Amino acid sequence: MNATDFDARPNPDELQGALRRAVEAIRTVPPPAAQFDAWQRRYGRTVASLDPPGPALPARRKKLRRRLVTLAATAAVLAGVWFGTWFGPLSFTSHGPSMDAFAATVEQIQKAKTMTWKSTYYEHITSQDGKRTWSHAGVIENAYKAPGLYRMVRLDDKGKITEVEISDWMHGRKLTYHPQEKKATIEKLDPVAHDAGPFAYDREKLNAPNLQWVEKRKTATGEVNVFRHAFRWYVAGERDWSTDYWIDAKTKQLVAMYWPGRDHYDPDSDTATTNAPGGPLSRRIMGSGTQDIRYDVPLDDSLFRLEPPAGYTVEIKQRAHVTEKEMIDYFGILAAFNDKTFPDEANNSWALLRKIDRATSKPPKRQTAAERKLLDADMRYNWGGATNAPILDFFFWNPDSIVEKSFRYLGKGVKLGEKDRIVCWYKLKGAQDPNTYRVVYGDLNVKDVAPKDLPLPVDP
Amino acid sequence: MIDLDRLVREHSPALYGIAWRILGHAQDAEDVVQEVFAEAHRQSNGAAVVCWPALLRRMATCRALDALRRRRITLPLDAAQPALAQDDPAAIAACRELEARLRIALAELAPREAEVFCLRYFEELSYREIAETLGISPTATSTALNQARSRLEELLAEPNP
Repeated sequence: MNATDFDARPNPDELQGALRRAVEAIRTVPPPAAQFDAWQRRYGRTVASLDPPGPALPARRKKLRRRLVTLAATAAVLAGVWFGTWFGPLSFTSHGPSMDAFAATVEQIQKAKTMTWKSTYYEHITSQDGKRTWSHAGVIENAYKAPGLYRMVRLDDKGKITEVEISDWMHGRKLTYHPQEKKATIEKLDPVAHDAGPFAYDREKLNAPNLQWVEKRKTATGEVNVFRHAFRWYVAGERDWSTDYWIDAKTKQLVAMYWPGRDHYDPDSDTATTNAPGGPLSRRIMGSGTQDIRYDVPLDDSLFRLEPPAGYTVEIKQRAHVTEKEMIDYFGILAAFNDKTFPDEANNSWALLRKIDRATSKPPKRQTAAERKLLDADMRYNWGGATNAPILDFFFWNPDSIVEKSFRYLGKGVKLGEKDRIVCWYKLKGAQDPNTYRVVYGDLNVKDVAPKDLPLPVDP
Repeated sequence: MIDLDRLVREHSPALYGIAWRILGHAQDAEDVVQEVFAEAHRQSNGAAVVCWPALLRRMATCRALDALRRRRITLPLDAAQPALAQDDPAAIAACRELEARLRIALAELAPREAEVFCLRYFEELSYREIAETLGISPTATSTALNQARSRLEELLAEPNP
């Protein structure tokens, strides 16, 4: 390879077959619009902690600190050796338990065909004058059946059912009903290709290197080891946030989780639960506990049936899809952004995505009007998390609007405003004349065209 | 002294994009961006950084790949060779599967190979830019890239788990 080649950008031909398609697939879907203001607020603590360090410690204090650190490290190593022996199969590294230590825990969650658990949501409130506290909790009973079936039963403080929600993520349907009002709602979900299963986020945290063993606790069913994952970005008073994972000492099953961990709030020892609520508040700790996690429990299929109980009023909610006009307007915005040329593909090409990335990275003041318009439109239509969500939604995510396989994109190289060049065509479901195609031209006009008048053959 | 606010403001979107393409998960990508800024600050404590964009890009790629390796995804797949017909919802779903398989495969590569591959094909950098970003020679970049491609082709050709 000569020196010039070292400066060459990647050529798509460098990759072949499945690898090429996989890379294209990743490049084709742009990142969901990030809310960096919210992100900075969320990570404010970390950003603040990165301020320049204070003045150096005097030599004597440094020496004392070194001794304390050495003492603490020795104690930690001794504790680790003792704990490693006592906990059996767990192995330890200098960072705590090795990642392998939780493999059995994670595997049992992933392999479970059914699971049940109880979620409790706590609020511990301090009055404005700081003299009174009160707390309350809400309970949700959960059930899961692989693949993708979830049932949530919300209970009031007297244990009465207030809401039932059944979701089928593989088929994209959700039923919610309220027994007291005898009302039910059925709505569509965006179906998922694969069921991630319960506790996907926590399964990853169980592999985090900074998970620390905290204590061994006796429970009603045996003994658990409590591990803590410390968060750096949520602020609770002067301290950071945490999650506690309770893992059964014998079975290695995850049996409970608490967010925040017991270092911040212990619902079992909260004496404020019997205090009367009321008045303005000055501080509130909100948290949740996931308890009584059970694996491979026999669950009747009827629990996951997406049928409202008899005698309920049923409302069917349709997700708001983009209209044809919105889709065409968006094509115009996209073409204006892309040097007044329609993109090479209906699904964004690499080159266009790079351009959008560059526009996103610019400070708002340096963005052009066309760039701002596109980014604003993407923010407005960001439910799909894709840069060209209106196009994807109209043609690919809404099977009720378009006749299957009738969409054809011919916009590559067409200039915005070219009234004789075709950008795309498609057939609308429920159109007055079911044989004609809707044809979008470069000037964004739409005409109904008979198949024989299209420049390329189409399936009858 | 670094102007952290300015760095965060200017580089967050690009770093987020890098992490997102590797991880395919918004919240995880945000976590990576956070880690990168914390680590960048620690590394630069007292020392001048010649090229912040390169340093941050390298860190984002490495940290995102670390997160990918920790993830240990298991993904059942039925369609081994889906077509990339973009006008078909089934093909779109198949693409998502293919993306997931590539991410799993990336987690199995040697770290340097995975870094080079991501910078080349996700960030579209030249060999020289990759070499500068990772602090290696362009020839080493080329070698690592060839190995990465071969290994990934093998992994993607394997039957689904």
